[in-house]
Amino acid sequence: MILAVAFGCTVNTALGQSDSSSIQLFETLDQVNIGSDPGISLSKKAIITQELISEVELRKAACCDLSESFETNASISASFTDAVTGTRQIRLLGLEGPYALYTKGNLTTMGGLASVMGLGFIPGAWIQSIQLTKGPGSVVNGAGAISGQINYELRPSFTEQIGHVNLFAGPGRFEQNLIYTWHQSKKWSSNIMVHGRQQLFRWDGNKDGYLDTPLSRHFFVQNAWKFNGKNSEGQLGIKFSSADNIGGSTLYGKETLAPIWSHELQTDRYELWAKRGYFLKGGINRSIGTQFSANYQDLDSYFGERLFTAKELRTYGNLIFQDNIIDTRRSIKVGADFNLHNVEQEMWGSNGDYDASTFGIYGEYSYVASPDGEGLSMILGQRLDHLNITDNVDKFFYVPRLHIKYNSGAWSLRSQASRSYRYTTLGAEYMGYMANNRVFNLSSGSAPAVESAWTLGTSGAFTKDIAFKELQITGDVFLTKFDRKMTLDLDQDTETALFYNRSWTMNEWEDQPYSLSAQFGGQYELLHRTLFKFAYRYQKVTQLNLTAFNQGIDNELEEVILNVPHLLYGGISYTGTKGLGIELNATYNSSQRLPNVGYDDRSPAFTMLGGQVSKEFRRRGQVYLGLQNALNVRQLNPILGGDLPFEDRFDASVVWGPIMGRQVYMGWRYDLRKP
Amino acid sequence: MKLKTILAAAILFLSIPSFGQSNITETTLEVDGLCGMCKKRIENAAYIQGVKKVNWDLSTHELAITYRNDKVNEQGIIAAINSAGHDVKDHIATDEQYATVHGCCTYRDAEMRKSHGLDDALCKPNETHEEHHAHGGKDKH
Ligand SMILES: [Cu+2]
Repeated sequence: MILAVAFGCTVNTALGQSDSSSIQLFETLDQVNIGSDPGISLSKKAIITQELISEVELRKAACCDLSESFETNASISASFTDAVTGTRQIRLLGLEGPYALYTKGNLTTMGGLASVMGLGFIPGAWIQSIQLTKGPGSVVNGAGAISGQINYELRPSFTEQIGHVNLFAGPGRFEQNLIYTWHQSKKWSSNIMVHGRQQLFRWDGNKDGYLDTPLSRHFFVQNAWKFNGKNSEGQLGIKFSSADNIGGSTLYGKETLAPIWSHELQTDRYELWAKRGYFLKGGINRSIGTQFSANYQDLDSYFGERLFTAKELRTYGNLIFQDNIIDTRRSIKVGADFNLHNVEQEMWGSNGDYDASTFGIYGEYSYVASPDGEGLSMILGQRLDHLNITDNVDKFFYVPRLHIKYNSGAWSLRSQASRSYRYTTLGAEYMGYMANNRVFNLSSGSAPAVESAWTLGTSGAFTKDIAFKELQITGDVFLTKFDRKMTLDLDQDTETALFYNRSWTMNEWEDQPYSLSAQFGGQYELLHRTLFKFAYRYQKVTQLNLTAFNQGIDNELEEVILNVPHLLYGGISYTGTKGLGIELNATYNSSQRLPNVGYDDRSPAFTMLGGQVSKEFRRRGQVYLGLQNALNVRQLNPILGGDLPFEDRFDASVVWGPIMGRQVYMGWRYDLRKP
Repeated sequence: MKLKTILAAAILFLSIPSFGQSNITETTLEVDGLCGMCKKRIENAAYIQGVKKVNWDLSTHELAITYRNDKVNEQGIIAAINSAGHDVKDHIATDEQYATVHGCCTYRDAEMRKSHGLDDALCKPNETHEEHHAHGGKDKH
């Protein structure tokens, strides 16, 4: 079924996903009907709670890389990790970026060193679609994904579209994307993607003497190949990414009387991957698939007087066997995978080298009562991993996961109970917290800490034609309970940051830190060709209260800093007959807790308002013009104590809102198709 | 002003059931095309004011369409599809209109049709330009 990749214009639209993997690691997604593509769609068949974000929707976001692709989505918030590096991290179910699993065509990509900054290495113009899974997904992709999974599909090579260009210009920021595709033979196709990004001008809108966004030069290039044989499919590719950033004082590189605080980061990342899938005889869905990836990253940086250097080598492999049992309604996947991870790093003045190896075996049984998804469906997955981390961890982890779905007419109800675990990469995941002069108290040592959690989730979707147009209403609630968790605490004073690792037993269930997320939303074409969307999201995220802990109270929880408890989203999207598109988006963020000392109690609430007008021409591509942060909301003092940057209280790592004010951007994209 | 629009929208929304069946027409048209890009173009073109729902089936070439007959008629929808360059059964687009479709969507081309597994075009390749119009015009009566 997936082998039937058609040549022709279709590939660009509906069959885009078929370029992912010959072995579908997920339950069948509904193919997107681009004719009535609302941008974000829910799959009725997917057993796991999933949103599919298509290219149509991606074009509505301002731009530029994976971390910025969720502006029109209430499930994910993206915020700056600090005020100097320009790095954005996403939050899903109230948990920071590294708690999610990132996959490219269902192959694990980022983790460790790239777990936060890696999202900036995936240009939006390269992305074909994103599948967002809330809560842990399939065990085939590993035991991580505590908060969920973000699977992105890059533009396929098996397409009639031979070229794509996207040029973007914002305030002092320029981006270029070029994609070229060719068919080497009937069986082989390939594409090259190039991305360049430059921030050339020194921007200091809030006049605090620090750059609002770093000067930067990014260059990424990727070459991917795809093989379509009679009974097999294969993909392989290489990617090189290089980023060079300068942040901090606006006087960088100039003669100054007093020493200035600056930040520089240089990193190179090399990636290599291969996927292979064979359909076996004797069953229509019997197949074997292999996945392999290797990456190496080298990073050099400093934050004022603080150095952070790291080298990471990671190799990953996965072997998956899939078949039906009894009939096509029941299928199984069994397999084994490994993940070898070597990190050498210097952070906060100490050595953070480690070697981690994971070997896992898994089995997953799925049942679908009816091919159209009606009635009951379920996936029962189990994993057994052995994790070894140098001198620290040598342990087995059992990871069971159950997903159930029930469809009845307009209703889809889903529930899940899942186990997941991960290990932290101390330096890279907390890189934003290097932009201060706090003394880091690594009381639990600098080795990676294991974190594990149970997730309970349930969601409901109601889809029905009302007055011939589809009304979509969705709601979900997720609870993540951690029984091992690392806590970072900035509440002690302005000079220290505490890291603490702790585990809780089953009996201490009530004391475990948790994240609770509830969301409700809907969309409807209220006016002809005009889609209205709204969403409300509530999040409560807690952690161990270390202040109380140090006073001997070991079971008190406190709200984490920088969590947005209430979020409201509204969007209007108009699509004209002659290629005109108008978008309006507004997001209200309620007040966030800030560290106890040195800050106000809570940040102000604020609303982000943005819009975009685009026009698609018959032969000259699409031009777009947008406005971000129309209300000009800013955190005016993102750098605490910036006037005395070498004093203890200097802190650029508590960012609750936008640093740049109102911004206008524009761009042009063009698809070159075969004549 | 804004409030008025919202109010109007709300009234429209609430009054929908009162349309009843009387002014709603559901019909199908045979529209020629090749691929997903054509589908997008056809559905986009047909989705004019007054049209409630469109769905073009790639394999059968049938465009299922639901519209308010007090706001728009079939001729108007056909004209909109033609102007996007697509042939409707008995209403062939002009060559100028046809020329606007993308190079990979040349659905009248016999080779292209073959590679997409399609049989004869609505617009027969041996017909001349003039005949299309005569053909299209004749059927209107
Ligand atoms: Cu076409």
